[in-house]
Amino acid sequence: MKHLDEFEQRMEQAAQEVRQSAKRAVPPPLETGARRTLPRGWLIFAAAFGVVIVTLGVLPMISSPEDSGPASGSTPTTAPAVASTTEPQPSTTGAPATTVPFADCSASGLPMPAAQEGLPAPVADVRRAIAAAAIACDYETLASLASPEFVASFGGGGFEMIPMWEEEGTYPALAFLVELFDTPYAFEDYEDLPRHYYWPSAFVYDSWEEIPPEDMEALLTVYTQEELDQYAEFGSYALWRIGITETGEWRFFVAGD
Amino acid sequence: MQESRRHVPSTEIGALDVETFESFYRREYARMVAIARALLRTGSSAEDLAQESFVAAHRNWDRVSGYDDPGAWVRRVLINRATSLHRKAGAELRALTRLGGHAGEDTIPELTPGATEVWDEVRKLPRRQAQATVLHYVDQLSIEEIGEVMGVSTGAVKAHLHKARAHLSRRLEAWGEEAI
Repeated sequence: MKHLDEFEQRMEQAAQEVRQSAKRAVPPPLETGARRTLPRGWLIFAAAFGVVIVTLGVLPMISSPEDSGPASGSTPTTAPAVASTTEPQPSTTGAPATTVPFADCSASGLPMPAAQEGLPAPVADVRRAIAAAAIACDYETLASLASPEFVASFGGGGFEMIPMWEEEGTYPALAFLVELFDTPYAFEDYEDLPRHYYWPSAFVYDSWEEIPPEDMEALLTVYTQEELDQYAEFGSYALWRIGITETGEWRFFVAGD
Repeated sequence: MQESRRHVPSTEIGALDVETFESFYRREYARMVAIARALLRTGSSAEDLAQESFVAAHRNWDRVSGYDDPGAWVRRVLINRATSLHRKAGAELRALTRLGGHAGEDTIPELTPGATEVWDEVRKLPRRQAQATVLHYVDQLSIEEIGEVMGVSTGAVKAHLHKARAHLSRRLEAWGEEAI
């Protein structure tokens, strides 16, 4: 393709094809069942619509099973995320629709991360609270969850970096937070510090080669293969990671070495 | 940008000024499916994603209907979910392939190989570049409208589109040469 015009022409043709294809998609009727085998999305839609009709109010947010149980193992230790197909469901109790806390940010609409086995309760609690606040774009709650020593950014900076990145569009920070919590975690023990839990687990390995295949696969739910290839030159995982102490202190959300 | 998204309580809006959710849903459905179709591998996933995004809008319609452009809100939910789903779908597809299984059947027409190549390449872009590209080419939004949907400045949109075009034109050019 030698000219920009040719490129634009090819993009436009591809786009037109997608638009034409989508015109064949008929919106499922609101009052009755779906026109095809009920997809998960339509089931949720039907449930939400029914609940609204009956209760005149909807609660959006999220309830997830309790994470539980202390982890055990050597240092570093990784644990897989528990797969879950449960989507956040509207609730029939609680606040009416007009008070639904749903603002706009990069994490809007993302599902809650699945519960993970082996996390101590303080860690599980703060993980869940951070994810819920991120999905709700609730910076105030997020800030309250960050420890006084919280570090964001590349090598320095506080919580204020997160709303700044979102506002500028520099990084979809809140989306990263939510998605990273859905990857396997690892923990490390230190002589003078409490145990730290990390997402993703890839962070605790000294080189990319040491990262187990299943943990690498999990990274592909957050990054593209090209992004991972691009950053592999750092030697070890130096992309976004989250750190929480065993006492439930959210210590950092950083990238870089 | 934020001003136009100001929430107007429903009590401030006359009943005739507020579009019903159903008419909004029917009017916007195909456009949302198109965006989702470009961001995801399969047509059935695209329809599911579009529907889930409308579910989110329905849950919050009291608020969303008060925005100047409720469609921008739904688009933002959709593109955020699409990025996550695309990557998860990639992992699922790889797992299915290993197990010798098959992905679900699409209910909207398959794209031609040429178009499939283009959108496969777009999906490999960094997420913001991919989102801006799809909103520009598929949904034919202006730079300002894309910024509104993505929650970024017009300058950031231009930068994302510039980088995306540069990368895509190189990749598609390489294909052209390989095809010869």
